[in-house]
Amino acid sequence: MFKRIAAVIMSVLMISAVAFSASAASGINDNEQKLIDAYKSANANGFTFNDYTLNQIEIYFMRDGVDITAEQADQVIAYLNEAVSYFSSTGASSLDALSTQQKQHLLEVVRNGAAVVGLTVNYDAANKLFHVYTADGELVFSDAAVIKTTGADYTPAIITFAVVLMLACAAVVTAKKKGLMQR
Amino acid sequence: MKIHFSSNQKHTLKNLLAYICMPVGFCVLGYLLIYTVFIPIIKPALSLSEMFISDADFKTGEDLTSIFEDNIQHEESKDTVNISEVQIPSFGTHYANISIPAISVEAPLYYGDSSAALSSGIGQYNGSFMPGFGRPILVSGHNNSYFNSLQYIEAGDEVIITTNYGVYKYQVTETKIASYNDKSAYDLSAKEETLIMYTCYPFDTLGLTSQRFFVYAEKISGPEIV
Repeated sequence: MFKRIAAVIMSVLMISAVAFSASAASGINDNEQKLIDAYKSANANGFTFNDYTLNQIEIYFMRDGVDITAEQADQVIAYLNEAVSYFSSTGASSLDALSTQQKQHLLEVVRNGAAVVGLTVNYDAANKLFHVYTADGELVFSDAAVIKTTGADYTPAIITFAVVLMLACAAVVTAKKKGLMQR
Repeated sequence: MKIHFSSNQKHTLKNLLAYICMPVGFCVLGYLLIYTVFIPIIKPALSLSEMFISDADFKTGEDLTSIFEDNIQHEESKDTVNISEVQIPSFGTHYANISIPAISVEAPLYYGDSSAALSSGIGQYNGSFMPGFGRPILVSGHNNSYFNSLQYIEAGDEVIITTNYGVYKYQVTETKIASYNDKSAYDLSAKEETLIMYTCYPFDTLGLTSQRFFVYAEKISGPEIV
């Protein structure tokens, strides 16, 4: 869970809230590479950013109009270090081990960072997912599972059919007992 | 206080139950059964229809849009394409077509693998890269629709991804069955362009399954993005 929040922190601190629907790509400049390297080396009590988080960040940097300056990169790295230091100081090995207040603090950092760069962090409590959007509602980061469900589930239909069959049998038996079927 | 019914009232009540309540009850249950059974078929159709008739702002992955241009003539001899010529799509954007001639797969490829995208075609995981970037490409499709025939794929079969900026060809090297949470089944940090396709396994399962059928393919042609 910490990996998620930390990844979100870094994601929202891309200080270029650019609206795009299908913008041309640009390369990774030195400052963005510096940021990516900082992400890769970040380690909080053994937790590190996973590949899919790093990839999403790199893909975001490739979008045209997203060009991080040296000053912005330093600021983002400072926030990253703050998040890592804070989590490390708690001694926790997972987000679940944090107190509610500690979790709130981390989340506050994320939301404050989002406000600075015009990005919005949405936490889907039902699915326990973080999504990051630009001001125009473009999704730039999601921590949804890598491997999705790609098959149909007929279990509800089977259960429903079994229940209906039982009810039908019960109805027939009841009707017969009550003499409803007699003319 | 006990209520006594006359024989006529009892007869009326019996008729009411037999000819109205029971048929209505079974009609409702029957409707629920039919709806539940046909949900896997209704949902893709509804998604498609919503894509055409909805005026929603397509930006969040569940609302689909398209930047793919079907009639672009690509230069086969082109080895590279400038990154400025490549459009990075938003979530839920149809940006390419994927085809596997050997098993008759022909489908739109969406950026992002939301439920809407998977209902309308093949979805590319947003934490993987587009063709040409020299990095892993992870795509998925439903085993009861676009990727149903993936079960017949064999090593050596060709996969073609046609984008606005180039045509990419991949050759299948192996297939593998693994759990959905087996992270060794894919390496998103790899520095080479591998196409990884997956769908739920077994193909004829009636319920949700924890297994996936993975297909791996190496790039054999297509311009490198520089």
